[in-house]
This record gives sequence, C-alpha cells and structure tokens, in this order.
Amino acid sequence: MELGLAWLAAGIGVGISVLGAGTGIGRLGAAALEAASRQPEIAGETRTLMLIAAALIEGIALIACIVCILLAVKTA
Amino acid sequence: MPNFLEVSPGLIFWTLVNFSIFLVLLARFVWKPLLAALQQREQQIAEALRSAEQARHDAEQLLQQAQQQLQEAQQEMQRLIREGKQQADAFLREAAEKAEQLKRQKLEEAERELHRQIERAYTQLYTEIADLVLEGTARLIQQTLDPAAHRRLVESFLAEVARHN
Amino acid sequence: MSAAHAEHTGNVFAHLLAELGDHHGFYVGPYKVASLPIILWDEGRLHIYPSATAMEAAGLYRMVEGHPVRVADGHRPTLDLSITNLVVYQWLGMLLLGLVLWRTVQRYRRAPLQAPRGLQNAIEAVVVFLRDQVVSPNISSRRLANGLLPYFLTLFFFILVLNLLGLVPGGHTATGSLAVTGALALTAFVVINGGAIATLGFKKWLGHLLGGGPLWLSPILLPIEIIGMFAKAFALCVRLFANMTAGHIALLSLVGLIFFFGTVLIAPVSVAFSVFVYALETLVAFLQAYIFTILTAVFLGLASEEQH
Repeated sequence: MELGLAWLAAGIGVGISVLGAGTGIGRLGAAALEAASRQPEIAGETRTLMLIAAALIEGIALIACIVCILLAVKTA
Repeated sequence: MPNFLEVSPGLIFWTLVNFSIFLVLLARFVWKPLLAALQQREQQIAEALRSAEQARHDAEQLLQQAQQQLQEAQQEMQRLIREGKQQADAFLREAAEKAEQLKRQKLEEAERELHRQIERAYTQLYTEIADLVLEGTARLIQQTLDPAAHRRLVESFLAEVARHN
Repeated sequence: MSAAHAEHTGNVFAHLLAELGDHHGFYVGPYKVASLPIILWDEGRLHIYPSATAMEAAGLYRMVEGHPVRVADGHRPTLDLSITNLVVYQWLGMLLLGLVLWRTVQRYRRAPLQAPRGLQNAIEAVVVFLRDQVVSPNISSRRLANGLLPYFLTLFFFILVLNLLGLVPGGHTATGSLAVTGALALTAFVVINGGAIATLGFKKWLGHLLGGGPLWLSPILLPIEIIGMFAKAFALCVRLFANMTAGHIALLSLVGLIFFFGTVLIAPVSVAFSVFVYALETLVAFLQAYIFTILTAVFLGLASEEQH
C-alpha cells in the first residue's frame, strides 16, 4: 500500500513538474522566436539567452524529477 | 537510495584529481600553443587586412593623382588648341587684310594709271583735234583768218568742251 | 539486462537504474572486463588491494551490495578511494581527447598560419566560439577572461567527451554520476568565487554577499545570497547529472516496455523511440557541455560585476 502510494506520488509529481517546465520552456521559446524574428540581427544573442533560461527552467524540473525518481525506486 | 544517486567521496576525489591534472596538462600543452597560434593568425589576418586597406588607399590616391594629371593635360591641350586657333585666326585675318589692302592699292594704282592714260589720250586727242580743225578750217577758209586769232578761238572752244566733258 | 541480473525480482526498474551507478571494476556495457584496485582509507590506515577478490582474500573487508565493508562490524570504511568504473571512463575520455587535441596542436606547431583543416577546423571553431561567445562577453575583466579561458575550454571538452563516451554503445557515462558532476560544480564554485574575489577584492566580494540593499536588510539578504551561491553550483551539478541520466532512463524505460508487455510486437515502437531519444541525447551531450560552461561564465560574470 505504502509502496503503491509512493509510485502514485512519483507519477503525479513528474506530471506536474513536467507541466510547469513545459509551460515555461514553451513560453520562453515563443518569446525567443518572436524576439529573433523582430530583430534577426541579434538572433545569436537571443539564442544564447534562451538556452541559459531554458537550462535554468530545466534544472528546476530535473530536481523535481529526481525527487520523483527517489519515490519511484522506493523499495521499503 | 538507488546506486546511481549515491555520491561517493572517492569518485569526487578522483574526478577532482583527474580534472586538475587534465587542466594543467591541456593548459600547458594544448591551449597555450593553440591560443597563441590562433592569436598569431588573427593578428596576421588583421595585419593583412590593414595593409590591403593601405594599398587600396594608396592606389586610390594614385588613381586620383593620375586623373588629376590627365585633366590638367586635357585642359592644357585645349588651351593650346584654343591659342593655336586664335593665332591662326589672327594670322588669317591679317593676311586677308593685307591682301585686301594690296588689292585696294593695286586697284587705286590701276585706276590712277587709267585716269592718267585717259587724260593723256584726251590731251593728245584735243591737240590732234585742234590741229585737225585748224588745218581743216585753214584749208576751208584758206587763210582768211589770222592763225593766231584762230587758234585762240579754237582753244577757247576746246576749253569749253573740256569743261562740259 | 544481462543474464547476471535476470534473477532479480521485485522492483525491476530499480535494478535497471542500479546499472547506471558506479562499480568496482571496469565494465563495458553490463560485462565486467577487468577488476580495478581498491583503495581504502580506514581509521588512519591506508589499505590498497589490486582487486576485489584480493581484498576479500585478505580477510579484512568483503563486498556487500557492491561496496566494501569491514568483516568485523559490517560498517563501511571511512573513505573509499578505489579506482572505480567511472574513474577509468574519465581516464579513457582524457586519453582520447588528449590524443585528438595533441594531434591538432601538432598541426598548429607545423604551420601556425595555415587555414585549419578537418578536425582541426572543428576544434578551432569550438575554441573560438567559447573564447568569443562564452567567456569574453560574460567576464568583463580581460585579464581574468584570458586567465580562465583554459579552465573553460578544458571544462567544456572534458564534459563533452565524457557525455559522448556514455553514448558509445557499452560505454558508461561518467557525467551521469552526482559525484563527478559535483566535483565539476565544485571547481566551478571555486572559479566563480575565486574570480569574483580576484576582480572585486575580498571586501567588495563580502559586500556583494550583503545583497547590495540597505544595511538593515542584510540579515535577510545574507542567507539568501549565501544559499544562492551554493544553489548555483548545486544546480550546475544536478542539471548535468540529471540530463545525462534522464536520457538513459528514457532508453531503459523504452526497452523495458518490451519486457513489461512481454511481447516482441512492441519492439518496433520501442526501437523507433529509442533511436529518437538517442539522437536527442547526442544533442543534449553537446548542449549540456555548453550550458555548464556558459552558466559558469555567466555566474562568474554576475558575481564579479560592480555593485549598481
């Protein structure tokens, strides 16, 4: 029972964190695309900034995922 | 805790050792010569660019100079042509004037000569006419008249004719 | 996945994940190729054994669940400094990268002014990119940027080669271990704060820690700044680890579908998705090396800029 709850929590947790990260990266990508199409001459700079921001978002999501993995591999 | 989430101090230690050694080795034997070579090449390219720019600048200056010279030469040529034309014109005008003058002179001379000739012819003619008239009249009236009075008469008549002429 | 693990029961996923960890011994894929020396620092004494079997034969320690423990009381030794699988993979990566870079440098030595060719061109493009796009724009001090450039270059290539070694079939990902990424993040932490102190001076660096707000706010800001300082390094560590592990877990899960459903019919789907994830992982291998490097540079730039 406890194990099942842990797995359930892992699944739900991963879902929620992916939702957040996906939204974040989606918005980021949209904004970066818009910026790049408005000012193509600074597209390279925009890309770098986008990657950094994406990495920061991703970092949070990955920490959440690790928590979920810890739940998922709970054995006792 | 699953195996792969474990943080083993030994691995941290070895990673630090590996990375430090790698950093020192690469910095000494790879990055230093590589970055130096890159910088050297960049400097050379910059140098080449600069000298190319300089050469272009020089060539432009030369071209400008040549163009200026060409323009000057053209102007000089045109000036010469203009001057030559002017000279030629002046010369021609002078020659024409001279010719005209000469022509006029000759004409005048010819006219004067002609007049002289005519006058002489007239004089001769008058003398001869006078003589002829005298002779004819003498013959006609057979010396009825005193030749001196006669001559005076004819001459006055001739003078009248000359005036009318 | 191998026959050796076939008898595992219970949480199969957990056992598969265990494959991702470090091992005593050199493994290619699931197969042990060679045993490696075990070095233990225990209660002030150094014990060195050429292999795990030699250690067990000596009688002081024995292997339990992949870790040496004391025979006497069943505790782990104070410090396990053994040469493990991932250490060997780091050596492999260093050797490979060292050879490639050495060959490249030879070409520079021979003809420094010639246009680069082949691999030299690729490496030079990366080096120039890191120099002009990653390090220079973020670190305002020219002297510091030039001084730290070798660190950033080494960091990038080290992470990249370890990431790529993990993608070679049979290879293990050294950067897929929290200890390795933690050590790299530790160097980044030292570089970030050392660079900041070198640029600002110790006093200003301390002033930075007060958050730059009014003095009465510093009791609140000081802990936040200090936590932030460590959080940056921690995030670097976890990001690299998680990115490299996540791809492997995705691959394991996709292949695991075949066993989960117990039919080979699911294999085409699994294989197709695996290929996709594999390609993605190749991208991620480059991307994460880049991200780790540029984030270190960005954090250093943030930490060493003047107060405004």
